[in-house]
Amino acid sequence: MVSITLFLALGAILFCIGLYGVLTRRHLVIVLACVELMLNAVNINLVAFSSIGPFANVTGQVFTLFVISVAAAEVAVGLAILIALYRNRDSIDVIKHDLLRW
Amino acid sequence: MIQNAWLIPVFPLIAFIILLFFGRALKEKASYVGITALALSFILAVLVLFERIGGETYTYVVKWIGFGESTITMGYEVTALNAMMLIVVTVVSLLVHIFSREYMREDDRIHVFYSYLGLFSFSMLGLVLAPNVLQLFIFWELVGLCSYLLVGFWYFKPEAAAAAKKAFLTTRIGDVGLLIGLVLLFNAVGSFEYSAVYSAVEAGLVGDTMVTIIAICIFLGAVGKSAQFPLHVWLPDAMEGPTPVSALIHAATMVAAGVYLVGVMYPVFLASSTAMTVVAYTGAITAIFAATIALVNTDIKRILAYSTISQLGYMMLALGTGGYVAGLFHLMTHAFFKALLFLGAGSVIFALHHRQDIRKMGGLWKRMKVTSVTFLIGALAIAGIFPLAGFWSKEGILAAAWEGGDMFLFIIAVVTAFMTAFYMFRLFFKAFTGEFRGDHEPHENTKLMTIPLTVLAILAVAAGFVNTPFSLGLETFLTDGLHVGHQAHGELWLAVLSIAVALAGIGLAWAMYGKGAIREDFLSQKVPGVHKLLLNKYYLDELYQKVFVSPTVAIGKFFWEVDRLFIDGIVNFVGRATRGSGRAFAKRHDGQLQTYGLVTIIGGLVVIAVAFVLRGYIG
Amino acid sequence: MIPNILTILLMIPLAGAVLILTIPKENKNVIRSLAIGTSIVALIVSIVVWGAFDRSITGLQFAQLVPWFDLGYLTINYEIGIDGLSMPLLLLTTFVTTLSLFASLSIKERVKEFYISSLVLLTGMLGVFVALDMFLFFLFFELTLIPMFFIIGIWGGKAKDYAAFKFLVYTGLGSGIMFITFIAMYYFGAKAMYFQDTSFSIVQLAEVFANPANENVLTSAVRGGLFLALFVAFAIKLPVFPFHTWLPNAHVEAPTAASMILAGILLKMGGYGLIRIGIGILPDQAARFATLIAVLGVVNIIYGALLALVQTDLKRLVAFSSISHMGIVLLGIASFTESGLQGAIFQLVSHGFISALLFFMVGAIYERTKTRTISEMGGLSKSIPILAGFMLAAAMASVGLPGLSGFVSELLAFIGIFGASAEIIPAAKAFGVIAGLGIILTAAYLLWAMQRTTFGQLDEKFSGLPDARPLEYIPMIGLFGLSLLIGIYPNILSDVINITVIDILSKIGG
Repeated sequence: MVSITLFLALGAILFCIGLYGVLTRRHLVIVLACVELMLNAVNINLVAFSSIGPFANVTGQVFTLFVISVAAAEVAVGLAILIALYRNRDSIDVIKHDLLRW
Repeated sequence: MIQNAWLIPVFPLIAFIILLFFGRALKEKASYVGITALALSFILAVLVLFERIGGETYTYVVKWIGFGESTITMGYEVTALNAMMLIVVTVVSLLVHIFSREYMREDDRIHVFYSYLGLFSFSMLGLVLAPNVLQLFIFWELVGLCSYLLVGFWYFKPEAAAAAKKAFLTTRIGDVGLLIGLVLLFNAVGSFEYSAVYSAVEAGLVGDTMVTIIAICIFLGAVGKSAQFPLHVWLPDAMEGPTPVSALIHAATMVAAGVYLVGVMYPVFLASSTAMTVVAYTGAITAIFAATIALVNTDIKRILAYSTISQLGYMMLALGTGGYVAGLFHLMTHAFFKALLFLGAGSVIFALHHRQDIRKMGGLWKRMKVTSVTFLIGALAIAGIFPLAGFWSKEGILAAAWEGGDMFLFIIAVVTAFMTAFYMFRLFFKAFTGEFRGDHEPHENTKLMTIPLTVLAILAVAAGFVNTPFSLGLETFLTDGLHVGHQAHGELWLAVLSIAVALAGIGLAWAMYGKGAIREDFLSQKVPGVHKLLLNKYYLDELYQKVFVSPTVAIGKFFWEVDRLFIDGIVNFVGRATRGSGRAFAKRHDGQLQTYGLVTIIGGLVVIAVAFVLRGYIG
Repeated sequence: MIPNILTILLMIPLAGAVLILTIPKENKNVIRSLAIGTSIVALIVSIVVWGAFDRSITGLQFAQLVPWFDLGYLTINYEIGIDGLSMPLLLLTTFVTTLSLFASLSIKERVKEFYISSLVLLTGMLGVFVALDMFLFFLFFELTLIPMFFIIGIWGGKAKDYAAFKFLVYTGLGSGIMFITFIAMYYFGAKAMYFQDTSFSIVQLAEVFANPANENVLTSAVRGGLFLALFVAFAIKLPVFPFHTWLPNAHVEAPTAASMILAGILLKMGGYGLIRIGIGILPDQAARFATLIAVLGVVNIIYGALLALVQTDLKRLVAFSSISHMGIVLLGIASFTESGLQGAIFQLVSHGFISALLFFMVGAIYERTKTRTISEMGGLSKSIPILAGFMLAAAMASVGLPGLSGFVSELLAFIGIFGASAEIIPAAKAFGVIAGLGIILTAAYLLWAMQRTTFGQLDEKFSGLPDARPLEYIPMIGLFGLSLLIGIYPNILSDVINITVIDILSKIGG
C-alpha cells in the first residue's frame, strides 16, 4: 500500500509547477497549459483521497470528472479569447496586455 | 410725579429714536429735539427731587428673566442718592446740549451727534434710576457704548478711532471684573436688588472672604469706568472727542458712575475692611498720580482730563475712608465745576479754531470776558477756595481722610489739594493772562455758549451750600435710612489748612506763570528725568503696549500658525495621506495579471500562516 | 390646533422645492419669489407653533408617532415632537433661513438649483430639531450636509472645492461617528430590554438608560464610552477645538446666505444634539465629564478669540468669533445649573441671530468693496454709513453689549459656571474667570476690526459706494431687531426654555 502522502506530494509539486508557469511565462498558450496542469494536480488529490483516503468513496472520482469537463470548457473559452485577442492586438504576450490597470 | 420718574430717561430716548430716523432731514434742527427732551427731563427731575425730599419713595419692577426658581426683575426706583444724581445729570446734560448747538454748528453730522447725546442721557439716567445692580450694569455698558461712539465721533481721525477703541476696551477690563463680582453676589445673595443685597450683607449672610472678593470685583468695574489707576489710561485719550462730550461724559457724569457704583454698593464695601482699604489706596494713588502728570501737560483738555482722574481718585479716597457723604458730595460739586471748566475750555478751543495747546494761548482775559471769569470761578472752585462749592466738599474729604486715621492717606490728600490748585492756576495764568501767543485773534462766543457757562458758574459757587457744617442738608438727605457713619465736615483747622494749601498752590502758580518770579522751566532744568517721566505719563501706555497688547497679539499669531500648520495640518495630512496612499496603491495596479496572481498567492499564504500561528499549529 | 402641524412644517419647504423643479430655470424672479414665499409660509407656521406652544407643561408637545419600518427587533419610527429646548431653535431656523434667502438675491448663477438646495436644507434643519427618533435625527442631520456641500461647492469663492470637500468629509466623519454611536446605543438599550419592544426613540432610550436595574448591561464604561463618542460627533459640528478647522474654510468660501445658515443654524445642531441626546439620554455621564466639557469650552473661548485677533480677513475673523462664542455654550452646559443650561440655549439662539447678521454685513460690504482684507478697508462710515452702522451694531451685539441678546446668554452662563457645584466641576470659578478674559478679547478683536474698517480715513476707491438697498434692510433689521428684543426682554424666551431646563436637570439628581 502506497502512502497517501506520496500522492499528495505529487499533486503539490504539479500544482507548484503549474502555478510557477502561470505566474512567469509570457506566452498565453503556455499559461493556459499551466492552468491545466494545476487542475490536474487537484485531480490527483481527489482521486487519491477517493481510493485510499480515510473516508474513501466514489465522490472524489465524480468530482474529478467534473473538473476535467470544466477544464475542457475552459480551454475552449480560453483559446477562443486568445484568438480574439491576437486578432485585435497582434500579440499573445501576457505583459503587453495591461489594460486592466488604474 | 414720582411714579412717573421713568419718563426722565425716556424723553432723551425718544429724542434719540426721532433723530435716528429723521435726523438727516432735521440737520441742525436736531439740536432742538435734544434740548427739548432734556429740558423736560430736567423739569421732571426737579419735581421728583422735591417729592423725594418730601419723603416719598417709589419702586416698580417687572419680571425680566427666570431660571430654575430664580427670577431677575427690572424696573426703576427713586432713592435719595439717585434723586440727587438725576438733577446733576439732567442739568449738565441740558447745558451741554445747549452749548453744543453752537460748538457743533458747522459739523454736518450734528444730528448724529445729538442722537448720541440723547442715547447717552437716556443710558446715564437709566443707570441712576436702576433698582438693582444688574440693571445698573446694563446701563453702565450702554453709557460705555455712547462714550465709544462719541469719542470716535470724528471717526476719520485715526487718533479718535484709536481713542474710542481704547476707552471701550480699557473700561471693558474693569467691567468683566464687575460682572464677575455681580455674578458672585447673585450666587451668594440670590438677588440683584439693592435692598436684598444690603440686608443680606448686613445680616452677615455672605462669608467674609466672599464679601471681600465681591467688593473688590465690583470695585474693578469702578476703577475702569472712573479711570482709576491702573486703568486710567483711556480717559486722557478720550479727549479726542468733541469738547462738550468731554464735559458731559468724561468729566461730570459717566466717569463719576464708578463713584456712584461704590456709593450704591456701599454696604458691601463696609462689610469688608480690606475692600475699603483697597478703595482708599487706589483713590489716593490715583489722585496724586494724575495730579503730577497734570503739572507738566500742555494740552488744555488733557490737563483737565488728568484733573478729573485726580478728583475721581479723591472721591474714592473719601469713600474708602468712610466718607460716604463727602465722596458723593464731591461727586456732585465736581460735576458742576468740572463741566464748567470743560465747557470753558471748549469755548476757548472754539474761539481759537481748535487749538488746544496752552503755550499757544495767553491774554484771553481781555478778549473773552465771560469765558475767562467763569473759568476763573471754576478754577477757584476746584482749588477749594472758600466759599465755592469745591471748598465744602474737599474739606469734607480731608475730614474723612483725617478721621480714617491713616496719616499716609491724609498727607496724600493734602499734597494733591496743593497740586490741584497749582496746575489749575498754571493753566489759568498761561491761557488767560499775559500776551496772546496764537495766530488767530479770538473773540468771545455767542450767548448759546456763554449762558451755559454762566449757569454752571453759579452752580459752582452755590452747590456747596447744600451741605455746610451749619446745615447738613445733603447729609441728612443721603444717609436717611442708611447705616453709614461719619459727618461730612471736620474741625475748623482742617478748613483753614485746606484753604491755606490751595492758596499756596495758587501763589506758586502765580509766581511761576503770572509774575514770572520763578522760571517756568524750573522743573525741566533742575530734574529733567522727573520732568520727562511726567511728560510721558510715567510711560504707562508704552508699558501696557509692551506687557499686554503686543504679547497677546504675538500669542494670537503663534496660535494661528499652530492652527494652520499643526491642527489643520493634521486634518490636511489625513486627507492627503488618504489620497496619497490611494494614488500610491493605484500605481501597483499595473495591469500585469501575473503580478496580481503572485500578490494574491503571497497574501493567501500569509493569511494561512497567520491562522496557523494563531491556532498554534506552527511555532 | 391643526393636527400634525410639525409634519406640515417639514413638508412645506420640500413642497416648495418640488414646485420650483417644475419652473423653467429662466424665470429667475418667479423662482426667487416662490422660494422666499415658501420660507415665509414656513416661518408663519413656526410662529403659529410658537404661539400655540404651552409654556406651562414639561413634556413634548405636538408629538406624532408613525411606525416606519420594523425588521424584527429593529424598529424605526417616524417620531417627532418639540419641547422648550427645540421650540426656540425651530423658530430660529425658519427665521434665519427666510432672511438668508433675502440675502441671496445677489446670486445670479444657477438660481433654480440654489433655491432648491436651500429649501431642502431647511427641511433637514427643521427635521433635526423635531426628530425624536435617533435614526430619523441622523437622516435629517445628513440631509443638511448634502445641500450645504453643493451650496459651498457651486456658489462659493476661490477655494470653494477645498472648502466644500473639507466640510463634507469632516462633518461627514462626525455623522459617521454619530451613526455608529446611535447603533451602539440602540444595541445596548435593546440588550438591556432583552430585545423586546425596542426602538430608536430618544424618549424610550432615556428611560432605559435611566433605569438602575439595567446597570449590568449599561455599565459605567459603556455609558462613558457612548457619551464620549457622542460628544466627539457633536463637537465636530459645534465645532469644538481641536475639531474646528473645517469652519473657517467653509465660512470664508461660502456665499453670504450659506454663511448665515451655517453659523446661524447648522452649528446649533451640534449644541442641540449634545443637549438633546448627550444629556437627554446620558445625563450622569455628561455630569461625569463636565470638567472636560468646561475645559474645552474655555479653550474654545480663548483660542477662538486669540485667533480672531490676528486675522486679516474680515470673514475669517467672524468665523473664529463663532468658534469663540460656541465656547459659551459648552461652558453653560458644563455648569449643570438651570441658569447655565438656559444660558447655553440662549447662546445658541442669540448667536444664531448675531452671527447671521455679522455674516450678512460682511457679505454686503464685500459685495461693494470687493475685498475682505481688513487692512484694505477703512473709513467705510463715510461712504456707506448705514451698512457701517449695522456692522458696528452687529459687532456690539457680538461683544455682548447689554440690551442685546448676547449679553443675556453670557450673563446666564456666568451665573451658571460661578454657581456650579464643586462635585460636578472642581474650581468652576477659575473657568469663569478665564472665560471673562475671553470677553475682553472679544471686545478687543471686534473693536480693533471696527477701528480698521468703519473708522479711519476713507480710501479714495471706496468713495461713492452705494449704501444699503431697500431689500437689504429686511435681514438687517430683522436680525438686529430680534437680538434687541431678546436682549431687552429675555423672558419671552426664558418662559419657553426654563421649564424644560428644570426637567433636564432633574434627571441628574442634584
